[in-house]
Formats: sequence, C-alpha cells, structure tokens
Amino acid sequence: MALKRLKDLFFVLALFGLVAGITRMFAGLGATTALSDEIPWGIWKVLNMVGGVALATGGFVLAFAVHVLHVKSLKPILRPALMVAFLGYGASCTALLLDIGLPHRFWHPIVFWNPHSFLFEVFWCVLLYFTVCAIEVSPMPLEKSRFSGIHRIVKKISGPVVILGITLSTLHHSSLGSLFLVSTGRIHELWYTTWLPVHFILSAAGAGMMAVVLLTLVTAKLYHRIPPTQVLTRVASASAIVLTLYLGTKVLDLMNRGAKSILFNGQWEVQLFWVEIVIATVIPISITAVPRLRRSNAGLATAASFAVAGALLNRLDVGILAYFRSGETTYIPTLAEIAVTVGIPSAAGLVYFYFVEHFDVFDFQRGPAASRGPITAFQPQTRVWGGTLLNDLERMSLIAVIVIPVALGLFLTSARASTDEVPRTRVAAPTGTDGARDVLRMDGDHDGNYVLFPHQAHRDRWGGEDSCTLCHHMDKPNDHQTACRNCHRYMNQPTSIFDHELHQKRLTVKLGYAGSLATNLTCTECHVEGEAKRGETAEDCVTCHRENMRMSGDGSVRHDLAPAYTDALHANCVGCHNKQAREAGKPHLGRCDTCHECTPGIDTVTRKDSVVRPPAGMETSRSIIHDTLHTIHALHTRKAGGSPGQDGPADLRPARDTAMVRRGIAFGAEANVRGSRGEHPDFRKALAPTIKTIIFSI
Amino acid sequence: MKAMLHDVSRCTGCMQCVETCSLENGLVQKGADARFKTGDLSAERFTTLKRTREGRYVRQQCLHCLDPSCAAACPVGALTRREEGQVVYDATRCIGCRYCMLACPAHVIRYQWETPMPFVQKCDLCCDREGGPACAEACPSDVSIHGERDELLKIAHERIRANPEKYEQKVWGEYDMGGTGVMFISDTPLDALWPESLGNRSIPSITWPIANKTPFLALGVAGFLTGASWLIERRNRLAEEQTEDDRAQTAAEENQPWH
Repeated sequence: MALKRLKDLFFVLALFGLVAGITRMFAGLGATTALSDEIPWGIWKVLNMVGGVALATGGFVLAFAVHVLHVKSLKPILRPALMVAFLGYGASCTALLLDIGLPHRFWHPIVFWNPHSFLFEVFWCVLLYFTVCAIEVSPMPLEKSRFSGIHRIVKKISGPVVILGITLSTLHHSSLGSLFLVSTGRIHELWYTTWLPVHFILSAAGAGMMAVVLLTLVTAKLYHRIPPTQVLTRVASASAIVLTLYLGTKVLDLMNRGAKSILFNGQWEVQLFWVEIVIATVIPISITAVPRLRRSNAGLATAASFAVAGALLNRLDVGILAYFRSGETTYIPTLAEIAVTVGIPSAAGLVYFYFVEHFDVFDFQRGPAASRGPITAFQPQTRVWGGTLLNDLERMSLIAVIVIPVALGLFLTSARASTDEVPRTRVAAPTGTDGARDVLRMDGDHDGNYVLFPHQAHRDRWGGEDSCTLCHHMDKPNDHQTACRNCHRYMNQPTSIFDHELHQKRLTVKLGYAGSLATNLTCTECHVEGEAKRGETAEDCVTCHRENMRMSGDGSVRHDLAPAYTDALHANCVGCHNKQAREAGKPHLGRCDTCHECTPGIDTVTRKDSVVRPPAGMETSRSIIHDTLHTIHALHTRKAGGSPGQDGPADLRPARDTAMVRRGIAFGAEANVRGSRGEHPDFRKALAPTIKTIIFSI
Repeated sequence: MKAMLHDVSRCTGCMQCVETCSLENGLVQKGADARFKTGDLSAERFTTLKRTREGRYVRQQCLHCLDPSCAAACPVGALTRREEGQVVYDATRCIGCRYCMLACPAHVIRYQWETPMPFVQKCDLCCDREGGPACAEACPSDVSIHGERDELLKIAHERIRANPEKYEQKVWGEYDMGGTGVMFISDTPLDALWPESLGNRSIPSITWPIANKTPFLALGVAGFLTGASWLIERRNRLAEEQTEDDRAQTAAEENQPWH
C-alpha cells in the first residue's frame, strides 16, 4: 500500500516538474526562476546537479570496492549502487539541460574546447561517466532480454569500463569542488578554500555510500524483504571512516587558514556552518560508532538520512547560501524551480521502481518476505485504489489529467505575470493607481503634489499596449517609472521656463485683448480653437521665438517641448564656453565642473532624477531664472570690466576655487584659495544660494 | 594593447558615458531618455556610475582583465581575450551556463533573464568601433581616456607625480587582479570597490595550477586502479590456488591407506 502511495506521489511530483520544465522552455529562465545577476546559479544547478551527482557517488565507490579491491562481501549491493549512479547522473543531466540558457546547444563543449575551464572538465567527465554508468547498468535489462550477444560484449569490456568510470568520478567530483574556486571573495571564507576539491570528493564518497544504504533499506521496507543488514553495516562503517576523514581535512584546513577566530562570532553563516558540520558528519559518525545502532536497520537509516541531508546542505551552502553576504541579496526559489528540483528525482524514483520490479537489482528480491509482508511473490505490477477498480495505466492517466492543468495554471500564470504584468524589479506603484480607470490620481514626480493623470489617453496616444514600456520599464533593474517631466518638462508648473500665465499676460497687453486671462480669448493665439489644449496642438514655440530653441539629435527643432532649465541654460552658456575654451586656451571653461557643483551628500545622479522643490522665496520660475542669469551676468561683467583691485578678472578665480574646495577637489594651491576666501566674503555669499538654487531646481 | 583610464577626480557624474553607451550599443528603446535611467548594470546597461562614500563617481564596467577569469571559466571558450586587449563574447558558442557570472571578480557580467533565448551581456570596449569606446569619446570632462595601456599608465603616473597632494599614490588596475585593461586614478581611495581578497593575483593564477593537474591525476588514478586491481586479483587467485593445493594435498595424504 505504501509503495502504491509513494508511486502516485512520485508521479504527481514528476508531472509538476515536467510542466514546470516545459514552462521554462517557453517562457525563459527569468520568468520561471528567481535567478538574478547576483545569484546566477540556483537550486537546479546546486542541488540537482552538484548535489545529485554527489549522492550518486555510491556507484563509483562500491565499484572500486568490488572490482578493484575485490571485496566479495559487498557484491550484493553493487547493483543498487550502480542504479543510484545511473539515475543520479541522468537526473543531474536533465536538470542541467533545463538550467542552461540555451539547451539546444548542450553539445557545444564537445566541439568547442576550453581545457582551462573546470566546467568543461565536469561536462566531459559527467558525459563519459553517464555512458559508463549506462554500460554498467545495461546487464540488468540485457540478461532478461534476448540480446545475449550485446550482453556478452558488455561483460567483456566491463573491466576497463569500471576503471574508466572510477577515474572519471574521481576527476569530476574534485572538479565540482574546484568549480567554486573561481568565486574568490564572494563565497564566505568558512567554505572557500583551495581544498574545496578534496572536501567535495570526500563528502561525496561518504554521503554516496550512505545514500546506497538508505536506498537499500527503503527498498527492502517497501517490498517487504529482509535487508542485508550485515553488508550495509560494513558500508556505513566505511562511509563513517570517509566522513571522519572529511571532518579531519575540514578542521585541518580551517586551522591552516587561521579561520578559527571566525568560528564563534555569531554570524548566521557561522551558525549555518555548524549546523552543516553536525548534520553531515558528527551525527552519522556518532551513530555508526555505536555497534548496537550500526547493526540495527533503524540506526543505519537515521545515520544515512543525516549524511545525505548534510551533503545536500553542504552543496547548497557552497553554491548559494555562502554568496548572500557579498551579493547583499537573497534568493528564494520559485514554485517552478522547486517543482523541477523535486520532480526530476521523483521521475528517477519511478524509473528505479521499474528496474526493481522487472530486473534483478537486489539479491534479496528473491529472498523470503519479511514476516509482516503480505506479498508472497514479487509483484511486478501494483494496483491502485482498491485494486480492481483501475489498472496502472488508467490510474496514471487519471492523475495526469488532474495534475497537468493544475500545474499549467500554476506555472504559466506566474510566468506570464513575471514577464508581462509585474516587472521583475518592483516599480513603486503610483499612489492611488487603479489600472482599470481612465484617469488616475498620482504623484508623478514623487514631490508630494498629486495630479490627475489621464492614463488611458496617454496609452491611446502612444500606441496602446506597446507603449507601456515608454514609461514603465518592465525589465530595467532598479528603474522606476518615468517621471512626468521627462516628457512634459513642467510646462505648466511654476518651475518651467515656459510660463504659461506670463505668455498670456504679455499677449493680452501686446495684442490688446480685453478682459480677464481666463476669458479674453488669448488662447486662440497659440491653441487651435475646438481642439484640446495640448502641447502638440498648440503653435510651435519656434513660431515666435526663432532663436535659442533646443535642437534635437537629428538637427530639427524640437518644437513640442519648451527647453527646461538644463537645456535653456546650457544653450545660453555652453556654446560660448566651449568657444572660449578652444580659442582662448582655457580648457577648464569647457568642463562641467566649472559651473556645476558636486556637493558631497547630494547624489548628482539622483538629483537630476528627483525634483527638490525650490526653497521659500524662490518659488517662481522667473525669480530663479532671473537670479541665475543675474549672477552669471555679474560674473561675466565683473570679469570683463570693473576695477582690477576689487572686481577684476582675478575675482572669478577664487570663486571657482571656493566652489571646488567645497566639493572636495583641491585645484591649485589650497592656501591661496583660503586666503582669497577671506578677501571676498560677499561674493561667495552672493553666489552660494544661487548656485544651490540652480542645482535644486534642475 | 588597448585600454582605458578613468580619472575619478574629474568625474561630475553627468552620465553622458552611460547614455552614449546605451545608444551606441542599441540598448535603449527609441524615444527613451537614457540619461534618467539610473541603476545598476543590467543586460541593457553595460556601464554605470557607482557613487563612493566620498562622493566620487566610479565607472562600473567590464575591466578587461589581462588574465580574465571569465575566459578561463567558460566551458566552450565563448569569452576570449583579443590580442588587442578586449575581452569579447562570442554569442554563437555560448550555452548559457552562467559560470562566467560566478567567475567574474568584478561582478559585471549580466544575463538576459527575460528572454527564452538569453545571452550574456557585457562591455566589449567598443572593440569594433572606429575611434575607440564611445563612452570615452562622449566624456565632456576627460575622465575616461582610451589608448595603448603603456601610454595610459605613463599618463596616469605623470598625473599623480604632477599633483601628488591631490591624487592617491596608486593606479588601480595596474597590478590588481593580475592587471586590468580598465584602470583608475583617484583623489580618494577606491579599495572598497575592488575585490579585497585577490590582491594582485588573478583568478586563473589560482585555478590553473589545479586544473592543469587533471591529466596527470587521471593517468595516476587509472594506473593505480589498474595496478591495484591486478595485484589484488592475483593475490586472491594465488591464495585460492594455494588453498586448493593444500586441500588436494591433505586429501591425498588422507587417502593414503598406509598412512
């Protein structure tokens, strides 16, 4: 009964994994996994590939014991060990195939070589060893089949194949450890060491043997057979010795690197390290050390479970958890990732059951049933719910019909959500957003002023669904939604260079309109009557202002936008500055920092992006522009004329230097600057608020 | 050998380099204003400005190491270092294993996570562009200069010598991580932005001595296994023969009626 339930569970999990895998193929890695640039390797690589391969080590260790050391007594569990190796590697390869970004190119390492790469080495070893495993496992089905010729050939080549397999295993288990050597400074120092290859092969060998022990015990239990406890005790003892060796090398290595001091500092990584050490080595070793426990099935099973879990935890630590500190990020696997990680071993488990039920994997299969087992003969087929109701095929179909739609709904929706709807990097939602409404109330510039935003109208104008990314950057990490001013440049805000009200007033006076601004029909001078009053429908600025318009990249006048401060002031100054820089031999005039202040504490990059409201008394655009232009004008006239004693050309120099000293860059002799600072306190006082205002308002 | 030198003390953080890079490499949708896209490196942004604690802006981009870790790590050799000094990516070889991202000590390699057919993305120092990298050309403050590495080092040392009070007495990238193609001089220390544990060693200088032992390890293990297997088998066989001989002898002796 337990076996039936387990098979059903495995089938369900495998189906979930299958659907998740298919979703990954269609939607891509970003949509189905939680991987990021910070944590590029997730549980598929670290648990399924690196961890799975580690647990499959039993095959090579027992092959070594039986074929090289000729330990005859271990022969009964050689076949299950080979099965573990074959299925473990098969599962790892499948997971890897899903994990690599371009699965259809999995064969590239065969053609394109890079012997410097550990991953290249791992690829080749895994590929060859998988073939070796297949050859080693093939006698099981072959001896039951009619292909006796092939069976004979396989038997003949088995000697060299075994040697090749063990060699390949040794190589790639160590290079799986070496894989992580490249991440110097990113893996926590408790795990990062040049001894990683040694640690990996020892822990894999120990845990691999324990995995065989565990599998044998579980199989015997499921099929109500008597497990070969004596043999398992020997294997567990050998494993305990290897694990002790592993613990020893780990301690030695920590002492060697002088990492003792960080072993007790209370970081969560350190606690994790201790937990891992206890689970992976201390508990299995202690259990195996007690003769009464290691001779009992329960004791063996406990020790083996801890060793297996410990090995997986170790791979998880080295591969993912030890990265968190440096990346300052976390990684929580998505549902689809977990489904694949669990589903692939489940599928492997089903294949294992098939092998056990149809071929001679265990000697004890033919042995007598344990007392409590009701099964008298070894049953190749198992029956479902009540036995007669449904046969295997029907039951499996029923499960598939139920599970596949559920899985599809689960993974496809989440995948679509992550690609289409919710950006990967969370964009701060505008206040009061309701996507279904045409007009939203939002704070488009994060300045605390809410405006009504005609969302639907914007969408229609810019091309429907396709235009979303013009403002919402779906896939730009750390990017937020585009602020309104990126397009609108504060046309009607008091901080804009285009003062709507001022234009109205001027036109009223100039053209002799009568009445209040709201009713005097000046609108029609720029806006076409009957059309919405928008920037695009209005007369171009260039119609009246034929100079100083901002030119866009292709040389045409950008008449849909009035120039903002940056552009307006740049247009006023930069041309002449550059000319002077070239012609008068004063290169500093052409540099940004001649006019711009780089104030420590205010991020200039952010500053351009966020609008700080002008301080009190500087609210209107005109006063800011006025002050700015006035200061600039004063600077230039003082430089050109005036009496040399007080306002001569030398005056500009100290002012600039003071600004530079303030931003922490010492240009020229600092002493000189300090002196001049004292001489011209008024100038500095006059300049500072203005420059600040410009900066705050840009 | 082409390289780039950043004088961090001159940078005003105007982001012209980032904008130009995005436009040059076609990373921005038409109509989007790249200047306002702040943030970390991504598959759509090969370079960015990192603000240090002292308020300086430091360019983040591929450092084009002289001994690149990514090139050593890539199992298919998709990342290689050209003779001219640029570390470049061959998208036709890549299998998407993302091992380069783990291997990069500067942590600058990015991946196109959002597409079903993703590739690795990183700065290639505009290696196929006439006139060198677009970012260096766009810089209004002469922060970034492009040229031969030896000459750039000369310029860097000259600047430091001419203004020893202003500059830190170090060219970052001259020897760090085995030397990089992208170097920095600064008036504030930049050590925080540099992987501390490596020092002047490159990652391949740590891994290659281990990787190059593989063939010997393979031969050694295979040889040892063959030898051990043969020896033990022979010993077992001899022991068995011995016991059979003994048994036969005892049997023979026991069968002698006159004994």
